[in-house]
This record gives sequence, structure tokens and C-alpha cells, in this order.
Amino acid sequence: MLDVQNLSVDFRVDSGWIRSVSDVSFALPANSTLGIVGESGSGKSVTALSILRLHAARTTRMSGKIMFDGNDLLAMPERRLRDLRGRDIAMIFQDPMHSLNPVLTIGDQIGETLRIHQGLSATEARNRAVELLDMVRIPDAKSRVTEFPHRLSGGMRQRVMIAMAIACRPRLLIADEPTTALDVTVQAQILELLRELRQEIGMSVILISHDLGLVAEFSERVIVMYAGELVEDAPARTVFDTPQHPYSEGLLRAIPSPDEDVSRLYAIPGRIPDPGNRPPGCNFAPRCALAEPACHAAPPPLEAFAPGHFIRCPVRMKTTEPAE
Amino acid sequence: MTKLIAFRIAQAIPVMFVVAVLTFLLMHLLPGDPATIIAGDAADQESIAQIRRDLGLDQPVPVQLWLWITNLAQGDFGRSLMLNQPVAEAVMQRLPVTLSLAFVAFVITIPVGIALGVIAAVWRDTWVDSAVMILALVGVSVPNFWIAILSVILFSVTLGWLPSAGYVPLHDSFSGWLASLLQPAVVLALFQIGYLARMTRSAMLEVLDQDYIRTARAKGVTPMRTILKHAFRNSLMQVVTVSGYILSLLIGGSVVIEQIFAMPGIGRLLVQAIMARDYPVVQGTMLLLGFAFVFINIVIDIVYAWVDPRVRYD
Amino acid sequence: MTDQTAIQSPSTMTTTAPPPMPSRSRVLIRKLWRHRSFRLGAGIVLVIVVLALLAPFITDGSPNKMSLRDRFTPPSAEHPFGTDNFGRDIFTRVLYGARISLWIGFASAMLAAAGGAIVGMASAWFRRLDGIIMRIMDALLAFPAILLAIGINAALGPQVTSVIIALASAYVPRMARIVRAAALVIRELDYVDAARVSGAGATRIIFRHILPNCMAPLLVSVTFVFAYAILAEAALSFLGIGPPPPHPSWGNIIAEGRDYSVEAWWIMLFPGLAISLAALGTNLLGDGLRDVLDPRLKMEQ
Repeated sequence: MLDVQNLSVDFRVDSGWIRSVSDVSFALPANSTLGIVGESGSGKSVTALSILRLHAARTTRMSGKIMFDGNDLLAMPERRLRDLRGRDIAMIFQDPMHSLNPVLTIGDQIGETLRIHQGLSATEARNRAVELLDMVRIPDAKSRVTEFPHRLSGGMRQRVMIAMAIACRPRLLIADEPTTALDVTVQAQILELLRELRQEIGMSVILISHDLGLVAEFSERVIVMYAGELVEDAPARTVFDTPQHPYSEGLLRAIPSPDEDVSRLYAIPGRIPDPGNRPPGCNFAPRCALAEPACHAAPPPLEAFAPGHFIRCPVRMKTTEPAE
Repeated sequence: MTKLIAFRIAQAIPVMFVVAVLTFLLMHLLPGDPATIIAGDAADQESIAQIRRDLGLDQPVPVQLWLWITNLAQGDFGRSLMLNQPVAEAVMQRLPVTLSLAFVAFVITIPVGIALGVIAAVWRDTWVDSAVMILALVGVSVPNFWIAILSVILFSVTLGWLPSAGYVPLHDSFSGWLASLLQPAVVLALFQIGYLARMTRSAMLEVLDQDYIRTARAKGVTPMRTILKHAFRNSLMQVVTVSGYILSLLIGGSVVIEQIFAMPGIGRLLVQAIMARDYPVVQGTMLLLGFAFVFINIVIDIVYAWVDPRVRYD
Repeated sequence: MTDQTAIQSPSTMTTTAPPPMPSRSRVLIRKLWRHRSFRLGAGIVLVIVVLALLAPFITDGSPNKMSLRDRFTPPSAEHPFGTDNFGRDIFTRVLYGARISLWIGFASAMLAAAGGAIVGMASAWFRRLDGIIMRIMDALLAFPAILLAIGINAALGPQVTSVIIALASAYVPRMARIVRAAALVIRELDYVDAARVSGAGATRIIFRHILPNCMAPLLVSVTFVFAYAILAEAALSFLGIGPPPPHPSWGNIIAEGRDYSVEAWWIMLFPGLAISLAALGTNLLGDGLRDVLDPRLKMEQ
């Protein structure tokens, strides 16, 4: 259904163009789940926003193809793409606090999607909004529908965002760090809700997070991104149980487990390189324990480690045999 | 909401008190003896003493302040020397002129300034944006009385389209009223249009950067609707905040403009009073204008609260 | 047009070795220089200032010299801006007027900044005074600056110094608010606490820590007040409560030329252009300063 081919994204800065995402490819069948993991700055959100072309047009340059039902979203006229947005592909964002318009009621904001895409009248849209609020388990939906966003808690706001996103029963939902701004118990509830709605509506979901554990639990397939590149692409279980790229391993070790002392929480040493100042070789080499001289010299390719499992790490390619 | 209004009014009372004290001090603590200044250079001791007695200047300053405040509380703003009538009466007679002028200028400024600002923000970094911003910059850099004179030469003297001076009261003739106000009001508005356009543009740009604008786009909302429904309503709040300030500036600016178009408003009264050293009028006019500005601020705060649901419902 | 610096070719980002980190002030100067409107504004202001300073050398040095034979001469080679009803050369008067108008603008902006710094600092430092001071500032802020200047000037009498004091007082509240806001933020920072613990006196803390940190917003406001003061001075003079008549301030020249504005348009045209150009230049310069020094500062005035 969705097929991203060689997507690269550049942003304009004072001194020229800077490559934020480079040569990313992945595919997503209908009614499936995909997770995208990486630290902030890895390009995962940029990739997600590219699918709906939500970057500021005047400062962004995109290349490659994003095929959706056989049409290239990147080549599509804005007008046609607008029909897809919110109807076939919907998106929810990290910060429910700022993602809702403070001067419009939540009913108005949910109903707007329906009025645009399904031509509902104001009353019809209002009634559907109440149903949708019910669907995302907001208690007392009938009276809540006239509330303004600032009256709701963070978790409730994210539920409203979800209600807005699923209003037209989209076939693809992109959830960009949907739980990061929420506290832990609410996080679990939101993910549970997403899982249930996915079943109910039968849509595909792309879940983006910095938390490998969360992503692996939710999705069937996971891609790991680092410094704008795809570094590992495998079934979720594989990435979680036997990650091959050293960066994926680092992410995995960084997940706090309940029985461990939080103060000894692992963090990958070093920082993600600035987009304008990436190393000549492997992007991860400066932080990598396995790095060899060759890693610093030339950028490594993405190679098939096992059937359906790709990594961008020549060291692992030659030293490790696929487990089976 | 009612609580907010009550709170704002309560907050305004000390400010009005301070305004009253300041206008009193303005005329008393600055160098020179007011009685001598009022009497003029040629006056003898006798008449100076008379003026001093008339104005209560022979009393100690705290007593004078007390009298000033208590008189104010009773609605007594003093008595004009040149007009031989109460200051409040003199001001009230001229108030409609100034308010008409400021009001018409305001009605021109708000839509034009906002429209230009929104247009500039939507087409940012294009020639449209540059043109609007250059226009706005010129608007805030050109002295309005100079433009007024040039405008009179062009529209009144050369083309003869509009009256060059005078004021027609609203109850005499609406079209006459409007014709007499049009030229001064447009000139007066120019400066504020530039200011408002710049404000609106920066408010719009800030709002267009917000996450909820991205949400709207992700829903498939058209750019036009995104701007008008999602962005504009939010930037409107900042625009409301400055609109009170703009109205005050328009009233202040009319002091100068009335002079050029020979309009019998408060500004003209103030300047005449300064020339005639009629300082009860200067004092009283400043005070009443000060009260008016405080009142405008209260109204704006209330409008703001009404526009912003975060304030309205809390 | 003011907030976008020119985009350079992408090739500049592929330079191999980054240049050594330049100092903060040099970075700022370079940024200012690259700012188009700053450059234009600074250029305009510089030209006007130089012309004002060189006035005695460019002209015959007598702005008030009358020549009844030359009354109402239109602009010509001999009198580039024409002459007025007394046969005085407008060009000379405009150049000498620049001295008075720029001086009034400069002095009142500086005085306003100094007054604002003192009041704002006092308000932030002596918390018990804060309420009273800020109420007074609120009361003053309720008045448009031009009215306040008219009122104060009415009391002080028509002189250059009283115009300066009047305009400065009219802008003190705005400046005081800026300084107070900055000082309140900095007051709460750790290093000010540390300075206080280590026994530094209030003066030292103010001059070492607080003042340098309000410099940027203060400087930006000073330029805008300068522009506005030039316009306000002209308005005061025009109303007849500015510097007294023989002084050729820009506002005075326009006021004197007003009665002849139809027949001898040049008398009022050129000083008006001078005011506009000076205000425009300063506003452009201020825009540049704001964009570079203090991008978050809202347009306040």
C-alpha cells in the first residue's frame, strides 16, 4: 500500500541545503504495523512528515518516491494530496498540548475533517464527533464536544487527536511519538487504544518513537534510523531479540527494565552528528565500539543480513552468522 | 468573566488616581511659578496675586492636591481662564470632534492594517511581502502633519475633492460629517496602518509556525481555510491587544491633525490652552484624556478575554 | 524583507575545515553587516549625520541670513532647496535643522534609556517600591507619548532642553518596563545569587550582571525611540511648542512654510523629506538590530 523509495529530504539553512534524511526506503502492506525508532535527530519524524508533505515547502527539498496505492505522493499536485490528507492518511503528533487549536472547540476540530472530506453539515459533523469521542473512550462525550482543548488533560487531548485522525477511517495512520509527552500509565492506555482502533478500523499504523521496546511491542516490523539513514530493517521480534546493528543494540540496552537500578541506566556514549557535519564514513562510527578503520573511511551500504533483515554494518556482516 | 471585569476596574482605580496626581504635579513641581507664567510678562504684582488666589496657589501644595482630588471626585475639573467656562464643559463640547476623527481613523486602520499584515505573512518573502513591509516602514517614518499638508495641497487645493478644513457635526449631515473627516482620518490612519500591518504580520508568522497549523494541514484543510480559520483567529488575540494602543495613539495623533484641518477638537483646545497659558484647561484635558486611555485599556482587556477561550472560561 | 538574509550558494557548506570560533561581538557585527536593511539604514543615518556635522563647510554657515531680494526663490543651482519668505536658504536651514533635530532625537533617546534603566532597575531590585513605581509607569503608559510630551513641554516652556526632557520622560516608562523585565529574570539566576553570596554589592551586581544583559533590548528600543523622537520633535515644533522659531529645526521650517505651502511648496517639502529619511533610516537600522540582537523581542514601539 505504501512504498517509500529512496526518500531524501533537505532543509534550507543560512548557508545552503542540509541533508536531513538520506536514501530511506521501506514498504508497508495494507493492515499492518511498522515502527520507526531512533534518537531525536535521527530523521524519523522528518520521514513521517514527508509522507504527507507537511514540511514548509519553501525551505524543504524532497527526492525519491513515496508510492501510495500506486501514486507518487511527492509528485502529486498539492490539491490532490490534500484530498488524501485526513481521509486516507491521517497523522497524530507528539505534543497534544500544542497540536490542537486553542481557540476552536474540540468538536469543531474533529468535525472539520468530516466536513471537508465527507461534506457533512455542521450538525452531522457534531454528532459524528460525539460518536468519535465515545470511540476514543472520552467519558461524557456529549458535553465534552463543546470544550476547548485547554480544559482537557494531556492524555485526553491525545485521545481527541486520535478521534480527529480516525474520523474518516483512514487506511494509514502515522503516529509520531504519540505518547512521549504523556506519563507512563497514560502512555499504555493510548497505545492500547491505538491497537484496538487498528483492529476495529482495519488500518495500517506507522508508530514512531525513540523507545525501541514500545515500538517492538506494537509493530510487526521495525526500522531503526540513525542520522537520517536507515541502519536496520527487520521483523520486530528480531530487532528486539537479536538486533545486529550496534546502534540498535545500544537502543535496546537503553530501555530501562523494572528490575534494574535506574541510576545505572545505559546511554550510548557521544551524540548524534549534526546534519551539516556528518562524518565521511559510517555515521555511527564515532560512537561505535566495533568501528574499524574502514568504517571511518567510506559510508557502508545497507545489506541483507538474513532474509527480511537488513543492516548497514559491514563489520557485523562479516563477523556474525545469522542465528537460526 | 464578570470577575475579570470587576478585577480590571478595581485595578484601574489606582492607575486613575496616579494619573490625577501626576497631572496635578505636572503643573506644580516643574520650574517656574504658574501664576507668573499665566499672568504673562507684562503683569503687575497685583494681578499675579489675584491669579494665585483664584487658583488656590497660595495654599500649601498638599492642601492644593487634596482640593484637586476632592474636586475631581465631585466632577469639578477646574475653570478655564481664557474661555471662562468649566474645563469639563469645554472638553465635553469638543470631545465629539476628536472622537469622531479617532473613530473614523480606527475604522480605516483596523481592516486595512490587518489585511496588509495577513497578506504579507501569507506571501512571506515574496515581492508582495516586501511591498507591504516597505509601505509599512514608510508609514511609520513619515511625519503625519507633513503628509496632511501635502494631502491638502493635492486633494483640496488642486483637485478640490475634499474640504481642506473644518468639521461638520454628525447630526447636521452624515455625508458632510464623513467628507470633513475623510481626509484627516486617512492621514491619521496611515501611521497606525503601518504599525498594525507589521504587528499582524509577525503575529501571523508566529501562529503559522505552531503545531496546530500542521495538524490542520494534516487534516486536509485548504491553505485559505488554514489561514482564515486556524491561524487568523489566533493571531487576532495579539491584534486585539495592540488595537487599544492604536486607538490611544490615534487620539494622541489627532491633536496634531486637528491643527492642520482646523477642527475644533480637544487637540485644538489643548494647543490653544498651552499658547494662552490656560493651565487649568491643559491640566483638565490631560486628565480626561488619561482617564479615557485607562478606560480604553479596560475595554481592550475585556475584548481580549472574550476572544481567547482560555481566559473566557476560566 | 527584514528577516531574511541572503541565501548563499550551497557550495559554502562543503568547506572542509570549520574556521576558528570567532568572538561573540565579531559574529554579531558580521551578522549585522549581512543584514540588508541594517546596512541601508546605517548608510542613510550616517550620511545625514555627516551632512549635519559638515553643515558649516557645505553651506555659508548662516541658516538665519535673510535676503529680501531672494524671497520665495524656487529650487535652483544657487539654492538647491529654494528660499523661504525671508529669503533664507532652505538647504542651509535643513542642514542646520538636522543638527537640532538629530541632537534632540539622540539626547532624548539616551536620556530615556538612562532614566528607564534607573527606574526599571530600582523597580526590580527594591521589591517594595515595585508596586508603586509600576503603577506610576502604567499611568504614564496610558498616554500616547506625543501627548505626554506635549503636556510636559507645556509646563517646561518652549526650549530645546525642555523638548528633550519632555520626549525622554515620555519614553522612560517603555524603557523601564524592558529593563525591569530583563532584571527580574536575571535576578533569579544562579550566578547573581552566587555573586550576592560572595558579598558583591548591589551596584556591582547591577553593573556586572544585570545591565549587560538588558543591553540588547535596550539598544533596540533606543533606536526606535530615536526615530520616534525625531518625528515627535517635528510635531511639537509644528504645533509651536518646540524649540523657539529662529532655531531651524525641521519641524519649525515646515511650520513656517505651511502658510506658503501652495505657492512655495519647497519650503515645507524638503524638511519633511529630511525627517522621513532620518526616521526611515533609523527604523531600518533598528529592525536590523532587533533581528540580530534580540530575535524574540516583539515589536513594541
